[in-house]
Amino acid sequence: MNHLTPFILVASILFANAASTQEAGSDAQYAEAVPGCFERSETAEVVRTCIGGGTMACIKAHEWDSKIVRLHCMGVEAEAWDVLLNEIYQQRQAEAKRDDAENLANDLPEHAVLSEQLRAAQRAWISFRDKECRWAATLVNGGVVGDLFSMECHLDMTARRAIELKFKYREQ
Amino acid sequence: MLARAVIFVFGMLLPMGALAQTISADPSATQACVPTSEVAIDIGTCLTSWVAACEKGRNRSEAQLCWWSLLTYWEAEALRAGDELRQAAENWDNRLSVQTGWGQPLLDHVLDMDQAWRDYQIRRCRFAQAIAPVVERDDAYLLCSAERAFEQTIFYRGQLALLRQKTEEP
Repeated sequence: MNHLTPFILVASILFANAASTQEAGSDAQYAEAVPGCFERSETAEVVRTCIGGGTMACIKAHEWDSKIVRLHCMGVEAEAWDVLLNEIYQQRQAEAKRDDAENLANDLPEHAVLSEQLRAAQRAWISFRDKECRWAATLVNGGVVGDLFSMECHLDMTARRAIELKFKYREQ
Repeated sequence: MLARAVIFVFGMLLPMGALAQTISADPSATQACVPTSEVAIDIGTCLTSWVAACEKGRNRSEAQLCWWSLLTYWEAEALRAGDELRQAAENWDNRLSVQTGWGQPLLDHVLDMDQAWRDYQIRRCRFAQAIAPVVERDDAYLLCSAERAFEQTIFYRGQLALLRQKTEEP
């Protein structure tokens, strides 16, 4: 997300000044909406409706919509999904390592590859996400609008990956 | 595993080339699995439903053709959409002869992204296969591959639409 830095820095400074003058909900509150919605949802279809909820609540609470507010609010939600994704990934890794250990104990070393394969898939996903989101920004010639596209892309892809890891690869 | 799958495909296709024509269920029906802004669809469930309908009344070897038919259809769609996107990016670069804000021609971005997508999908499907129960591993790999080709198509179509929109901008 390095290419976002200058614009996000400016946006954060401007946003911090503006936000300090009002009593809108805190960033933590909007960030908490993500795991809250996630935990309440029992299927991947339902949990997909959680995507964007924190951003909308954040924008609404601030009672003014601008590219800067939007970028800030998407950033808050994207960070929350990122934290959630890391938690789910660690859970899946723990399961994979346990299964690998079982396979090794059962003299099936060729099946003890889950942890490594999950790590390889996740690294490849991160590389793909970064390239896709850079492409999204490129299509609008960068700038603040490019950052908005890129941030939306990060938010959406991170959320979808978290949902995929949570529901698709649950323990068999 | 990919090599194994490819060998399997060709091994199956040669004797079953004629059989493919006997599949009455048309895989293009799974175009209905494409999510829209109004309707979110679970792609895996949607594709599996089509396969289940296709397999009905067929023996095991015939039923496997349903998977291959689906996979072949979506791989062809993905190839076509990818070619269109690359062509559009190349046209953009040639027509305007400009570099993008990132100092790279659009085509380079497309190729980078395409490679990253392929790397990710191969690893994703290997993991999906490894985590599946032993007896379901072939099906798990096929489902993942079909989903991969499907999602790749949707992704390319979306990017192509954005690029065309950009091209039409004054």
